[in-house]
Amino acid sequence: MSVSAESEEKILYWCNVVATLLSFLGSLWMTILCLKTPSPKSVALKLILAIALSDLVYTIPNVISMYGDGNGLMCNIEGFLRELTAMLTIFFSTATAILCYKDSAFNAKFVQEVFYKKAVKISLFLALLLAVM
Amino acid sequence: MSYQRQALFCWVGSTLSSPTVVHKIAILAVFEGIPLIAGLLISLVGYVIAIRNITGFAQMYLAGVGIQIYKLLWYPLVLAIIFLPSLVNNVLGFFVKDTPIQLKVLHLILTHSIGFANALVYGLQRPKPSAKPKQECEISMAEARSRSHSDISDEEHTGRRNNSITEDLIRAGTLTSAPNDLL
Repeated sequence: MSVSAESEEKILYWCNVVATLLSFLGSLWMTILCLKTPSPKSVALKLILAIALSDLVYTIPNVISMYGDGNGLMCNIEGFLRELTAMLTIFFSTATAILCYKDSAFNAKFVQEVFYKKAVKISLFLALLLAVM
Repeated sequence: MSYQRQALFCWVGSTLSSPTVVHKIAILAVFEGIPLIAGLLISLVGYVIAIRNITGFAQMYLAGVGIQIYKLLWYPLVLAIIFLPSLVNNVLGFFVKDTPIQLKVLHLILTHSIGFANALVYGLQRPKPSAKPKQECEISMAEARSRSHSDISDEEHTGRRNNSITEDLIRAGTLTSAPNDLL
């Protein structure tokens, strides 16, 4: 399939609009659902909330890419937020997997809250490091 | 390195006037490839071990209550589905001037709808409001009405107690963190 540059741009623009809208609605729904769950919230739920929040913030660079000129400060903000939130999603999903694995091993020394705090700190540090680099 | 306009959006790019393919690959590896592939591998290994632990523990109980632990594999699967086309598109972009529009569309739609994909997975993970406990309750009440406590055999008592212990252990252990029990 060969399309002109102009129609390719249009296709990609509308793909971006639809995907961003779906992503925003999905992550908003997840966030509300997690926040509505009565306390005390489990550690896994907190990790899912963290994923939902990073997905929610991920829609901001998508919106910027629709309206930004692709240069200067806006491009830097877009790139920074994109890298930060994409990495956070990957790290939080990995942390959820590690939590399931650790918990299924019935290790008495494993404390979920301690793991959660460490996971959030390490994820934020690594994602910020990659985004700032 | 700096954030600059790429084919689809602003992302990390080389500040060199004519960066080599190796330089571009190194940037892609550090800022997307290595974290993604490492995350996927850790998730897969973690889930395989977790699934083994859980199935070894209470296969019959899990089957009885309808918990499908293999659903846990959806998490790394979603990561792979969302980010791998973007990785392929970026790598291909180093070697060809213009990547196919289909791949660009796939890249854009998947990476930009990450929130939707995650919501879909977590939505599917949520336990549906089941009629089962109510039915059990109704049966128990009917049973209670129709027969006295002494009619229940010792074997039945032991079975019920074992089920309850299994349930408590699972709730205290694995399933407190399993998504089926979360939302």
